[in-house]
Amino acid sequence: MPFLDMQIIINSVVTGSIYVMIAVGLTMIYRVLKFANFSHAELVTFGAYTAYIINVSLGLNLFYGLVVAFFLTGLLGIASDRLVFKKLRSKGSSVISMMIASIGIGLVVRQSIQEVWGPQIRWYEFESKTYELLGGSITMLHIYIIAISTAIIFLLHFLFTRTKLGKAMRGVSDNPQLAMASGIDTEKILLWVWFIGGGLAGIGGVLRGADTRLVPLLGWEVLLSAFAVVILGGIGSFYGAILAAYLLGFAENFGVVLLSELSISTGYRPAIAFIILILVLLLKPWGIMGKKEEGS
Amino acid sequence: MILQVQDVEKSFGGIKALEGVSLGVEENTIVGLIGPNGSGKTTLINVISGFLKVDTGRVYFEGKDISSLLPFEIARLGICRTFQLTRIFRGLTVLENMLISSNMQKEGLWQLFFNRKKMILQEKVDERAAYEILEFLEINHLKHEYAHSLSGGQQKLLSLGMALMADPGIVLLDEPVAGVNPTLANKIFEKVKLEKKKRTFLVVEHNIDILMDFCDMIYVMNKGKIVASGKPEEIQGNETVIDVYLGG
Repeated sequence: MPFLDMQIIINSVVTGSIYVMIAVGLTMIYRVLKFANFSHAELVTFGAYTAYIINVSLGLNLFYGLVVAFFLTGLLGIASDRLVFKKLRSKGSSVISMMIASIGIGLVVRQSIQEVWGPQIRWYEFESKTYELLGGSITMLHIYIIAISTAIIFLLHFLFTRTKLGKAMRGVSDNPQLAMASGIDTEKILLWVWFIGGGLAGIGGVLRGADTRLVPLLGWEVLLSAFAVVILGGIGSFYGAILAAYLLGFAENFGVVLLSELSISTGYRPAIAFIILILVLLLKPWGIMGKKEEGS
Repeated sequence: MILQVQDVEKSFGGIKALEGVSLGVEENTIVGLIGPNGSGKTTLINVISGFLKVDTGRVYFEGKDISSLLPFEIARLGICRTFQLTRIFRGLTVLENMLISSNMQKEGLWQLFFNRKKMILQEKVDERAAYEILEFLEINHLKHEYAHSLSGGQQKLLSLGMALMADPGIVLLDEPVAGVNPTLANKIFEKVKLEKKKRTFLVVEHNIDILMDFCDMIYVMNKGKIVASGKPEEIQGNETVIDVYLGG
């Protein structure tokens, strides 16, 4: 394949690294609360703009912006749960109501961001050198994106397998009632899920914002890809989501080259995620690493 | 009395599931709870473990009123339960299932960063306890298997092990041998009997014969009420009980 070169691989890994951050939170929340949280998109955007305040308005290093974005977006995740989802849960609302509510929350946050910063395109302020790597070029930013994402994946693996908190999270998502009977404070665990899932979305937003640009629709643009990752990986599967994020990253970057080779507009790039989503749902609806639904 | 239920009422939309239920459980005994389907046995277990709130009445554990506590708080006080349809964490290994059931209190991210040494030490202690219980239940060889790959009987044993893991004062067993072959059923009750010196058991069970063999005391429920109670030999000849079961 003439157009499968180093550059595509580098770009794919970068795209995948960003998708991982966004998809992991989405899949965590789905796994525990069983609904698709559309407002995840706005957590992404919120994180990006939070870092903008630190980086551009306050003139600090973008890295500080990343850290602050993690904490504040995590708190926004918690707030959305306390103010809306927890209330719906305690009333026994259906997952459809939760999903619709999440679309509503997303709308409010998105419009608020647009109200504050306007619809115009903004950029972070940082310098990024370009290096040669095996015939492709890679920027310092891309190295950071890959490194940060990889480090977080290892941290999460450690969290889920080695800590009581992580095991409790898995327990709560596996069987909430049994978790309660085992003395686990499920509501407290849910707060951690929202905090970590939201925080990661925030980080994803900063990385995406740094890689492209900031617009109020930043999160919305990647939401479809994030859903494709979650479904491709098997809904609720952490390791599946990681693998799927890189797969989709590759499919999109490879697909773009393929599109231009076939003289089709690269504007169809978002369609790639769609096509994959539809194919997965048709052929392997439980994803590459998800479990087939079993009667409980 | 380690557990006392006093005049508990519970209705579901006009239907009285529990009507003035009172019972007491002595420490270090096995107490059976029998009755036909829909007589309120599982409802009572759910009330004691906090999964359902009482309408009126009180539940005392070691003298403390626990009627308004949440399930996880009750579990932490030392009341552990199993479920009628075996519940285990299917996506976790047997050992992880056991460890998650040990005391979850005071567990936060702080320990992760600041109290790591103490935590690792505690983990070792918990792990040893888990191995001991798994060995006791004879499923130690399965410790690294994922729970969903276990057979039905093994899952029952695991859920019993999980209930024992937190070293509770009382264990509520909701049909611990339903769908289990007679040999294994006997084995499960033998294990429960061995545990009696350390803790108390309240057992809901349809298999009356097995309860007669192992219980110190039996309560009989019908239509949300306790209709008889006594030692197994007293229950066996009790007219009311025979009526209840023959649909009299």
